Amino acid sequence: MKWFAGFFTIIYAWIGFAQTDETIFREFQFDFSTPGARANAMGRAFVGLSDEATAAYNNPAGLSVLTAPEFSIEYRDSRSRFDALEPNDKFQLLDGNPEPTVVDLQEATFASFSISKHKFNFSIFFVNHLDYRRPPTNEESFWEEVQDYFDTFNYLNAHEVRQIRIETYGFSVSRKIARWSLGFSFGFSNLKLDYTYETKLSSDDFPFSDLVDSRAQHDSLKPTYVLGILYQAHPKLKLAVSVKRQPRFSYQESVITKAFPQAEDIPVQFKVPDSYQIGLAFQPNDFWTWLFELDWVRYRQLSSNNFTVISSIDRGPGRDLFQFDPDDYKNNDGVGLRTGIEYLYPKGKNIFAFRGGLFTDPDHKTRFVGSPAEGVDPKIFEIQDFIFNTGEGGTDLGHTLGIGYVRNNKFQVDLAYVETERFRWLVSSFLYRF
Amino acid sequence: MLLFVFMMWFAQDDEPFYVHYQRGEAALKQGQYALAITHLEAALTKQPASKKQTKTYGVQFITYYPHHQLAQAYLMANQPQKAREALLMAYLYEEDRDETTAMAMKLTDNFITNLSANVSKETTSTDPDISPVWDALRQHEFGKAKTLLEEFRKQYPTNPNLPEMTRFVEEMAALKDSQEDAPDPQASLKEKIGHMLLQGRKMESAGQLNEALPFFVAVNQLEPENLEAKGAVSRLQTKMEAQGQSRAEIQRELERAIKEQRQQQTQVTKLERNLEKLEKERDFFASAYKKSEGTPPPLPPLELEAQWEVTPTQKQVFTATVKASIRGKMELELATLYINRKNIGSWPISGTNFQTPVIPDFKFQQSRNELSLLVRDRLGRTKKLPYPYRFPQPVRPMGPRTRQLLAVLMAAIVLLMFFAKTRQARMAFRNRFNPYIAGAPILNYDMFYGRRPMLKQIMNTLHNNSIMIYGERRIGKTSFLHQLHALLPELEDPHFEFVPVFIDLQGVKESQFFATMEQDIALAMETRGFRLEETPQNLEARQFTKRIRLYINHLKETCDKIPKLVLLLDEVDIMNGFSEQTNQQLRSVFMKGFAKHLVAVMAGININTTWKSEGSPWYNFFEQIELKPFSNEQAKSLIRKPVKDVYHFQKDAVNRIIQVTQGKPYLIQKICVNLIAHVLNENRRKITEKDVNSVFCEIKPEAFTAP
Repeated sequence: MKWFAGFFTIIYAWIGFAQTDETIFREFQFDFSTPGARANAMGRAFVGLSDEATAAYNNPAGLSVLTAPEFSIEYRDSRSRFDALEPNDKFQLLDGNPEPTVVDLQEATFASFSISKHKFNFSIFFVNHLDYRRPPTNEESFWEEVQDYFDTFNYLNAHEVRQIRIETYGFSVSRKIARWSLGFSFGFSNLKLDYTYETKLSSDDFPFSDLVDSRAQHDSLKPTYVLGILYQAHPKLKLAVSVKRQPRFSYQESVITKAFPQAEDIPVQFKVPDSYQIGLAFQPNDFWTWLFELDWVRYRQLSSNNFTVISSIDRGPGRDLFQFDPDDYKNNDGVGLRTGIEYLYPKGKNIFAFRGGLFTDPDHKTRFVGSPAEGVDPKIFEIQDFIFNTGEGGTDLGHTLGIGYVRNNKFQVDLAYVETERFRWLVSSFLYRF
Repeated sequence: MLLFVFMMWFAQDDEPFYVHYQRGEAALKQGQYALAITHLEAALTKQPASKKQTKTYGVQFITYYPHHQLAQAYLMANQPQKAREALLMAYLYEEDRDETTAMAMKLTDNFITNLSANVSKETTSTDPDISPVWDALRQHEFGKAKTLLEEFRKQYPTNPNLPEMTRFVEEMAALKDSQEDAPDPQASLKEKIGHMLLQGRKMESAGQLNEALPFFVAVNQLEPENLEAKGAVSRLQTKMEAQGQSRAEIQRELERAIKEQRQQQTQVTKLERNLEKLEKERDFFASAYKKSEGTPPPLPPLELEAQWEVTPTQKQVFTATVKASIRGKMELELATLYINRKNIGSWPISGTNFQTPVIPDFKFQQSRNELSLLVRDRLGRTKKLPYPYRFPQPVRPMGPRTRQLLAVLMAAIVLLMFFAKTRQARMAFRNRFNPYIAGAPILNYDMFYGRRPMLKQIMNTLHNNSIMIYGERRIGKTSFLHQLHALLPELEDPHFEFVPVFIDLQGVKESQFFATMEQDIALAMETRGFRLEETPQNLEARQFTKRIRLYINHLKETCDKIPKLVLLLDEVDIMNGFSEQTNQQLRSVFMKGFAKHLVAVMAGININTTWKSEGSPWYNFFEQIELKPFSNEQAKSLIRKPVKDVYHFQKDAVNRIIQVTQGKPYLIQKICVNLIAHVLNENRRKITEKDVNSVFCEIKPEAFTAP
């Protein structure tokens, strides 16, 4: 127990925050939901149940009910939409055609192997939390202010994200003690970064220009862990909590800006947000399961004081370069609600499963919230607000659907379709019980 | 954390039922009956109801039939009363729904019944008193039971129960053996060692030193700390030396003994493995035997034929006589007649055929009906014989009177229509009907002939383009713009909502150009409930732009679709006289960010030539459409259609009109309006070529000088 407590103390010491004001960082989404098509099909609310090897990372406590070894693998076909700049009540498009980017990815996103003995479970797993890629993009647009002055500005946004990827490799242990199950998973998260980024802002109507030209390549490992607790409150009701503590990475980004006309390396921190999930599973009979989950991802950790502002605005001759404050950028933590149901139809040695669910996906993008500073043209803030805060900031309502087939209690194949305004996934998973 | 540990410490162990059940099943298979009972009872405490399919965890279902397994465990643990109770529960929860389970339950039931049978049962000449067999079984003396049964079979060779009983006892003996095959390994080893020491001692005392040596060597191998074996080996070596055997010979003898012992050990291991294999095979064959012996062959389905007779007696009220006959191959027992799922009657049957009593004048509730006979035979099999019946619907031929009435009705309708039309024409003539319009622009769509396809073309182009309409004087440009003004708000476009504003620039001074346009737009916007402060008299382009932007913003807020403000500018030739700056300023309005919500349709005479030059601010700005004179068909349509059925233009008259007007719509309208006035004056409705010539002569000078 001592080593256990000591280990926790060391791990709790990492608290860090993240990222830069480059627009590529504002829009990607981490995925901390339980992998597996079964979990995804039920509104992505699986923490309360976690009764198969796909929960090895997310809530290992649930695995203590397993009585046989299990192997699982997930394959995901995803389509994500990234918003483009859109005219609003302040700015109208005069020229150019910025369009939303749609990125399609197909890959194996999870695998685990789990063995159980006397209420004790041991698993090894691989899980992908983030896979963000953007094809080479070169958007040039010309905008006009629609209020009193009809001032115009040019905006160039060019980038190529070959990868911003986080994967975790690790193991988990869980033990059932009476009605309680306690699980702990430990792993190493691997951050792989490789991108180039360029933005230019300029106006012919008032003194204002900005430039960022940067590139970064990085590959490193950091430890991470998950603590899960599951309580069987009633034969038909389970309650669970999962706490994930994520690492902070540091890397160097080579940048050219108005402040650094020659390429210069600046340190950037990348904090993967921690998350907390509370779930319940209600199984009124053998055939129906209802799940509910509260999902709190601490996206706020991405911004705040440790946010790295790279750009610096040139406000014309005789004036200082202006830089926004990291506090001008903010992320909302946003609690997601998830719910799902499963109906099982056993027929001899075959079991057919039908699933569906709903979930809310709160806005987690980094948002520019700065207010005009003294002595600075408010228009600069308006433009930054316009170009940084793309897309609507509300909470999306997503829906999920899925089917599953199990043969002889051993061979299990599941399929799930997950869709929101921002993305859609087709998740397939395979599970084998030995 | 401490609280959590504390709670866990005192929390009750709570394994789910399926874990206990799986362990109970495994223990039963391994012959650990006491353990099996413990787990099965624990499983039943948590989940008392048997289920064909019950969920464990994940997506897994198992067959949960613990009661009959508990009965078996109790039976094997020699607790027949509890076994009986468990078996009753198994029947109560219908565990015998499954065929294999049903057979196992039957066997268990038989055994419990026989075990509990009254031993004082009277015997007959073919039915021996087998109570000694049961006594032996109760004592687990299976060998004795078997011997007794063999003797009984010799004495009562025709008794059918004895061979079965023998097989059963053999099975029990085999099970008991397998149970006993797994005794305490320590005890077994001890027994084995004792036996070998005994043999060794016997051989030694008989002087067979070489034969005694392997026994002591084997013991020495199995139990190195056994002092007797150790002492015996050294003692035998000394004795062998004393008998004159060389050390080398003794060593060889020792090695041979060790080797022999190892071979024996290997042999024993092999035998144990073979035994285990054989036991498994025996279980398999026993299970297959039970299955084949116990499963009764399924009964073939009941074969029946039914002959129905439903004879309608009063078709109008759905009344009919019903009777049915059944023909089968088996002895039948009961037949029940249902009409529309309502029991009409049941009749007992003896024999293979049956005829229902005739049900006279049965009153059905509806036209479509379902009759069925449910028949049961002596073996308890049932069969449903359905018969759908629908009362015939007679086809009634139409009577001669109906035919006559229909013909009269149709003729009346045709006549009515004819008279109505004639009266309408007469009335129009009386009212001096003259629809042609000469001079004023055509505002009525019904009188807008010859340009409708072009109108459609423009409305399809307006989404993203501004349009310039040009053509000679009096060719219909203004009428065209008026038609657009009337039709665009009605246009059902899936994406856009058009808001047209008609602006007549005739006589507008350059200084008031933007103000004039803004006033017309402001008027149009007022009808939509939006008003800005009054337009300044000398509105500048920049102010005009701002006001347009505000109008568009209002439209964006209030329109469900994307708004398009359409400026319909007439007489734009006047702009040729304005400065280039004014033209540039107007053009720049169409270049602003909000311009996607703004389009223009401009009409003029010479704009196609002046605005075509590269120096013009309007160069390449418009889609150009020329309004030309009417084709013959378009002209004919304008001449004839407006007065159809009221006046009649002779063919020559029409051709003459086209000839003198050269297809110009204004002239056609003008000559037609005069022609109608001319024939009205003469109180006739036919228009001849002579009339045309006459009218043409009257109006010719005016027509050619018209603006």
